Amino acid sequence: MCFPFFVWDHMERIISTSRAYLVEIGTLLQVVRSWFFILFPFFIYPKQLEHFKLDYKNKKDYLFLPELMSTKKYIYPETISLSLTLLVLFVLFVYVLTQLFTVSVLVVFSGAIALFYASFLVFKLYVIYVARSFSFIDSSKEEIDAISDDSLPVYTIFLPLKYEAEVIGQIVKAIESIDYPREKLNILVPLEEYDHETIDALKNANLPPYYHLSYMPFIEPQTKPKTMNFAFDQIRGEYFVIYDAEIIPDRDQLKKAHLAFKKFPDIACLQTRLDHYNTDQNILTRLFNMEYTFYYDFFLPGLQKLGFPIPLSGHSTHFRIDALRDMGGWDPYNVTEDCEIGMRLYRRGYKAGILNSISREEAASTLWSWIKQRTRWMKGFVQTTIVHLRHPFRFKKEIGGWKNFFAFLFTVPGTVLLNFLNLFSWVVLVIWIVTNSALIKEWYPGPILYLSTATFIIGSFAFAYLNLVSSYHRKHFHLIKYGLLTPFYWFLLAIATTRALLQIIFSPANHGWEKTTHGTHLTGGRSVL
Amino acid sequence: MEDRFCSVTRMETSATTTRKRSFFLTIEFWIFVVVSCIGFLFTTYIYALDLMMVFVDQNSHLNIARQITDSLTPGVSQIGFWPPLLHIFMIPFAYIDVLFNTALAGAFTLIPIVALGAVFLYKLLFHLTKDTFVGIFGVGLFVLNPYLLYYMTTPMTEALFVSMLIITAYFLARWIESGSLLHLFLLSLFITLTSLSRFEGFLLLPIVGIIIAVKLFKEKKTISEIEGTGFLFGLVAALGIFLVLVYGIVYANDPLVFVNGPWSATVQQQFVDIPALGSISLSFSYMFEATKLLIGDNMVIMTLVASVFLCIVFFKQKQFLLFSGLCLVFISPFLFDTLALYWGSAVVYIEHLPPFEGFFNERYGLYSLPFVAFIIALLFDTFLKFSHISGRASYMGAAFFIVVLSMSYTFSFFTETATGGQPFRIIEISASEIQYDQKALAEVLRKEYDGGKILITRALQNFVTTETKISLRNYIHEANHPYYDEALDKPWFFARWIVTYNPDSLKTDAWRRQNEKIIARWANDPLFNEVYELVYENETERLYRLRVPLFETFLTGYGIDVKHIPSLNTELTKWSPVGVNAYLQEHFYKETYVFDTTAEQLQMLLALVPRVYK
Repeated sequence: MCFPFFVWDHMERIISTSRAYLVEIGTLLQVVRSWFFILFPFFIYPKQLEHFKLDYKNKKDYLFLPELMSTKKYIYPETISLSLTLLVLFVLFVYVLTQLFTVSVLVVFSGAIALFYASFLVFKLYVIYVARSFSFIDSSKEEIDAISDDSLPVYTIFLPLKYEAEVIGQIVKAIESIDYPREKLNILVPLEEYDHETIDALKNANLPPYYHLSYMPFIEPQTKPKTMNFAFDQIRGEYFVIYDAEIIPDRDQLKKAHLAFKKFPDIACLQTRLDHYNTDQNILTRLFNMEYTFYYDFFLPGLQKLGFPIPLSGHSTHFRIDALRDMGGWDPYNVTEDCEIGMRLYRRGYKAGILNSISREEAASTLWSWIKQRTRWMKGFVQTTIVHLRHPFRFKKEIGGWKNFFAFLFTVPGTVLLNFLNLFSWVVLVIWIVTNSALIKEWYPGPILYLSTATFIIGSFAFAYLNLVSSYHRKHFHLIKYGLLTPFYWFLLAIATTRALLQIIFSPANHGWEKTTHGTHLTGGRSVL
Repeated sequence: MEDRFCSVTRMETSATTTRKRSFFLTIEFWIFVVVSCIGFLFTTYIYALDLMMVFVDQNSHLNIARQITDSLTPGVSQIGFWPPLLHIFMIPFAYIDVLFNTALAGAFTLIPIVALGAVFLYKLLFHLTKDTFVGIFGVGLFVLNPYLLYYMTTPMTEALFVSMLIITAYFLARWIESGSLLHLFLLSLFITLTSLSRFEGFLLLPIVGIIIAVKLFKEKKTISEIEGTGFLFGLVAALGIFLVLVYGIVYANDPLVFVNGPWSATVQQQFVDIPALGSISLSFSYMFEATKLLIGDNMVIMTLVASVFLCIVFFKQKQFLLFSGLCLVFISPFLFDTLALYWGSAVVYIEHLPPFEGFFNERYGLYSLPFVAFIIALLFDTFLKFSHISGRASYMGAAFFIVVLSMSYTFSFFTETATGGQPFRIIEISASEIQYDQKALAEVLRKEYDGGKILITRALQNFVTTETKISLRNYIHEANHPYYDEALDKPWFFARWIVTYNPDSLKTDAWRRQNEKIIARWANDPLFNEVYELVYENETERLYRLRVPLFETFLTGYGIDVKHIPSLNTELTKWSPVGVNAYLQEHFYKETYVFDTTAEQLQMLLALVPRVYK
């Protein structure tokens, strides 16, 4: 039987035609893919992020990270595209619900807000419930006493000081009281050249030789993370800790941290617990202290126990230097560089832990100082959200899946949204009570009204009560009664958050650092040490 | 491991874990199962005796639980001014038609709660005595009381209240010993739940507050710690009372509406004899007699003697605060009701005491049952321990005697039942007389009902709403604001049916006459009697039906489209009061000018058109 060559002829033509079609389809798919990524760039897994190209030699603004991972510029195609996509999806969602339930757009909005509140409440209560069985990383006195000085590595202490002449005496005294061999301390004090007051105060303080002062020229942005990046090349040893100017850490904190790093080699960063030494200065400081106690004793431990990423604190955070180098230092444009680096830490696969050691700091004691500080924190939360959600799917993958992704959403942007919505909801509530407006009544049909009321009552009561509980837990009994004023504190938080949002909207290019004034507790030369 | 809320050691935590693993083998689990089984068996017995729904209050509780979901205006507004916990717990059961119609919703709600109360009584006794048998004996005394069994089968608050009281006592005992924040929180939480069960629970807040303060002072705690603990306790413990007050403000503009409102016991009492008013000794006597009646003479007398004896025992063991604290919690409802009788805001009738009118509210005596069970079980334990220590048989004999004596009441009750006696004579005597007339009217209404709304004062006609088996959303009652007000104003537009009391009856009491607004307003109105026909009447009740053809013709004559009129269009199950009234108002003006109506017709129409709600 001979082979039917005419079939072969046809086959060849079929194959060549198919190949042509395939090429065309392939080209078309390529075009579609290209257009897809042009339209939706936030789906891209950018190659440059696979391995950071860290530029430690950048003396222009001390940004070592790729710009895409920084707040230097807010608006990237990714941000615009993601925002538009979310907006379109939200509008569609609202439209479908209005059609499905034949309700007005405002009813869908009020329903969405009620659901957000309810889910936030459940999330937070669950985190706190889990915190019950959390144990801080701790070492006994015997373990600490057993450490020989020779076995201790060099510890770099970072003291970024700016306009802190008032508290120089206090911080030097606090550092001097730390139990760690002096020859193993490397204390870096970066200073602004123009801050003569602080420089003079330091010169008059007769600093020991392990203090290394460095002087920065005036370089934008004027932020704390830029200062820290400035002194980055002077970091030595194995571990590194940031202490703010007004901090008073526990004497044995460095040794405890060293033992903890040794016990848990997978932990790259240790967050300590914070407290205030000027708690009783006024009502604001009391409320601030209650909030902190709740945050560091219940909320952070809960997040830690669940393996969620932790928004770190700006000081008393101990790092392994290798991990810090691997991460590329801080983002000098982010005004909550602590929270941001906390997220980056998780993205790079490192872990954080909470050390049972207390650092005492000064609570912002004037209303304006407090508002400025909170505005900065909330603004930083928004910046961190924008940066990390430039490529949300990549972020989800790196941070540990949807669970951690949603934990981030609740913890960082969720906090901002909650504070902002609080203000909105209170205004609506007050208008409703005063005017008995039929229009507002229409926004809240039965189920939404019940859900909103339940979350409002349970949420307000539960979180105010938890503030009281946390103070009791730390034996700050005298503060408990002030917990009843917590709603007023929330009101201030809402004001600060709104201010932060306005700053971001109206002056996005301003990366200025609204500095907290320290030393107000030292009136009359009274020292807290 | 550091526990962040209470100071439990590592060993205790692991013990808890082990206990959790073998939960189904624990005594607590089996107590729960056994008590539940007893409860359900007893429910069938009570059902067979037809005693499940003989009080007005039983029907009222069931109606309230149902109307939260099934009403013209469902929701929180329907909960009413009674402490609402029973109603809230009963919502899912009352929602199911078969459980509502058979009144079994009460049993389904209360049996697990009482079983839980029994478990906590066991835990309390075990915690104090470390003796399983004593715990079970105490539970036996508690759950075998026939009246507790009765009240756990029917929608009443008594069984719920005593169960919550026991759980409160348990957490008080735990807190006194551990001082832990978790126990303090749970103690406060259960005080709130007890306050939301019955008004008697209100007294727990000051009583436990004082116990806490005494303990902390005794331990020489700083003022700030006492103050802080007080805040943590008070904020949660006072929540129940606070919610009741806020509810009053929101729905009646009066935080004390439960005292001042027309349906309150205080106002009701103004129309009856209050023999104990102003006399503390008489008030005590009534409560004491009620307690003996429901728990048994033997048990009550034994409890009185034993509590003095146990005071000495616990004082010697340096546990006086614990013992006295628990006793105070347990007797707090007795104290509350004694004061309520003294002030005249409550009334208890006992057959053999003035005014010799049978029984009324004698069930208040049941609130001392946990105290009696607790004390007798502790007495039993004391004798058992004496017998172990001294080895004398006489102590064992005394312990045995206690068991026999305390069980004799239950035993005699059931023997009487078995020999054909009248087991629930007290319940039967105190049953509402009005039920028969209301049930008869309900029967007629059920047969005749052809749709449309039924205007009723539900608080006065509870048997009607439970017996007709008509969905509660077909009623317009006093909790349906603003529907009730507009229907009261011009019933013919809204109500096809009207249920009222019979104004000609001599049996109708003054309180009813004062609060039944429908008949007070319309009884002698010729227009009303023109538009409605009397369908049924008995000695105390009346049922009216709208003369549909007549009214329909009348309205159509003026060009009014009857499909907008709820009383005529039975498919119109819910309407906007503003809409209906606006329609009528608009039509009235239009039609009167077009048709140039006669003066009489105009007068008639004017009367018919209600005010416009703005």
